[in-house]
Amino acid sequence: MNPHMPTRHRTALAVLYWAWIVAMLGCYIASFGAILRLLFGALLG
Amino acid sequence: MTVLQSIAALCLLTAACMGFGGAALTLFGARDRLRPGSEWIAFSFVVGTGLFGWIAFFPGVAGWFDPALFWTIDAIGLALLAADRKRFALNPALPPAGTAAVGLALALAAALLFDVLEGLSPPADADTLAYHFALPKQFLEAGRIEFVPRAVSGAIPLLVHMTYGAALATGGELALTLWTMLTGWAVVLLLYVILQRHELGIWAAAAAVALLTCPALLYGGGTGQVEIRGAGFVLAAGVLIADGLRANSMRLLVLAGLCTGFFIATKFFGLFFAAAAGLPLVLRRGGIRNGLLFGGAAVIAGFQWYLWNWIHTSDPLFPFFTNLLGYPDSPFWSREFGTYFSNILAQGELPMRSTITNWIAYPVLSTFGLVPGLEGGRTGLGLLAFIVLPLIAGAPGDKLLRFEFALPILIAALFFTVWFFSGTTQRTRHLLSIYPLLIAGAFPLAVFGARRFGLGLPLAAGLCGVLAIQLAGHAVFTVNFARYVFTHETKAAFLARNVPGADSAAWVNANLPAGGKVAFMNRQQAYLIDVPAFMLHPYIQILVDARPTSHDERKFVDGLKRQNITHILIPDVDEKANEKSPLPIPYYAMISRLVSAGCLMRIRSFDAPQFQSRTLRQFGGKETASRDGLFRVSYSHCPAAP
Repeated sequence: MNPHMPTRHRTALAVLYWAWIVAMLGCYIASFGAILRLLFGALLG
Repeated sequence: MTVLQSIAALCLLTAACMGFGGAALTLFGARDRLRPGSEWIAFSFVVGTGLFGWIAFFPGVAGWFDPALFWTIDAIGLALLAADRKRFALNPALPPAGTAAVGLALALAAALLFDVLEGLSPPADADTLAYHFALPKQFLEAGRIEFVPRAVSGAIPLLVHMTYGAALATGGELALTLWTMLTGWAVVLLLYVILQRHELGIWAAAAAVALLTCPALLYGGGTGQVEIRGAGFVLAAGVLIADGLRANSMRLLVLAGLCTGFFIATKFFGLFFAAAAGLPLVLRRGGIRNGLLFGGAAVIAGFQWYLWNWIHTSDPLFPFFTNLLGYPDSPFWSREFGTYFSNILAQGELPMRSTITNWIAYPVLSTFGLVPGLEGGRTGLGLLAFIVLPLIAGAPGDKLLRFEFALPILIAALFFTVWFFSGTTQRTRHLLSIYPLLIAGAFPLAVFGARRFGLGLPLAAGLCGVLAIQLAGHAVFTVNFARYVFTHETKAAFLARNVPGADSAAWVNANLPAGGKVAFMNRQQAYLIDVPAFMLHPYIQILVDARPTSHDERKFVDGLKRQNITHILIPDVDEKANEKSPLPIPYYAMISRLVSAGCLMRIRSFDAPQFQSRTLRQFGGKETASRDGLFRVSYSHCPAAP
């Protein structure tokens, strides 16, 4: 880790990257919506 | 063929490939660059697979393509392996132990188990049955490599298919399906050992498992699809180019050229890769010399299938130049059919226009399923690249420009650009060949970036998310194979469940009279039909014109007669020829007239339900009722040839 970077900058970067990760995973899962509906429909009868 | 024989043949083929590869690596000076153990094993297996396929071509076209040939090549390879066996001593490059390592090991074990279940099941993928496995089987039955005058699935580079022929000839179908599993795994191992060069620890294992479970690899890894096997040649070539340039080693560049040639001889897209890899090479100091060495080696390793096509059609990239330059009509192709073929290709394979905007947007449009025609969801590359993307910018400046990272990314970007604007298929799964090379360059930079800014935790969370999604997909994909392996389902029942037209193929095998030859329209039946057969494909061959627009019964019957066809197996005419419809399909109307005239006599009709996905069908996926009809051709009642 870069020891010279101010803590608030590190925190901001971490928050931004976490947001990116959550957004990407969310969008990706949503893109399989039709398949997920089919699978859950089959599982739940 | 017993299971034991299949396993033994598989082991021998694997050992032979490692033997050939090890000899080539030694000959071209890679001995000092690659560590013994896992790195040597991974590189030698991939390079050796290419060499094996290269060697088998020459006796094959000369009329020797049988088990004896492959046992002979196996024996030579095994001798080479035995001579240098210490180099292959297992030295597993394991990541450090810990909770994450245990979690990854469990994920890896699950993925490998799923793959084994697929490997133990009969082949059921459409392209695999149509030509990837059907062509080697056809060559083995003929005892020689034959020219197959079909675009896209016949007159194509077939280097990897030579190894399929070896597995099938020496170990039967089980060895063949397990061989595709192994050759897919080899690329994952190769990526892992390359990433381990940069001391990535557990991160390297995470990236390797992400590749192993990515949708495109699930789809094509355990089948005859060649993209992942081509990816091995690409990955080896990319790394060897970087090594060769850094060490100023001409021999390593020659070896990289050979790997590039193997990819050229595996898929037409190998030519794009040669251009993408050669350009940065040529533009550097000493580029002419390096380019000549690299290019010369690529030509030597990759020329054979292009020469084979040229000898038979005067077009090494059949039918590309025939269409582009307007070659005169031949028995294999015509200008009018070429226009039709190009239009069909554009309708089915090019969902987007080749514009700069679409080129930039392609990764987003594909990954998030925004353009369904790209098939970037179920058979795409997964989310890994998007997870690591922001971190690459955070990598230290001195690392960003280093050969081993910058060059793979540059080559992958150039390949994608040439591929996208070339007007060829835009389906994302065709990028699988270049994807591991991109990971090899980009992933270490992302890890360096994460370490620099203390972002290891969110990166780990992102990777866990990717792996969880992909493993869930892998599990769903495997249900189909588990049902076969863990129940008493017969092979016939498995095929009937997974392959439209499997029943009719089995019936034809059992009942076609001696001397008969059946023309079939459903391409998936190519591998399943064991009697003399002809693929009556509507879009990629003209020997018998079966296009939907085909309406001339005299010409059609003449085509059948020239191919000595006695029976035809086609979608049942009663369902397709609706003369009252405002737009009847001329082909089926023609078939209907031939049936009425007594030229085609219906023998039997079969249920042949059509479905979009074998995997989703089990969960209630869309299915369309359809029937196949088998007809005997009674030439005495047919209209005479024009």
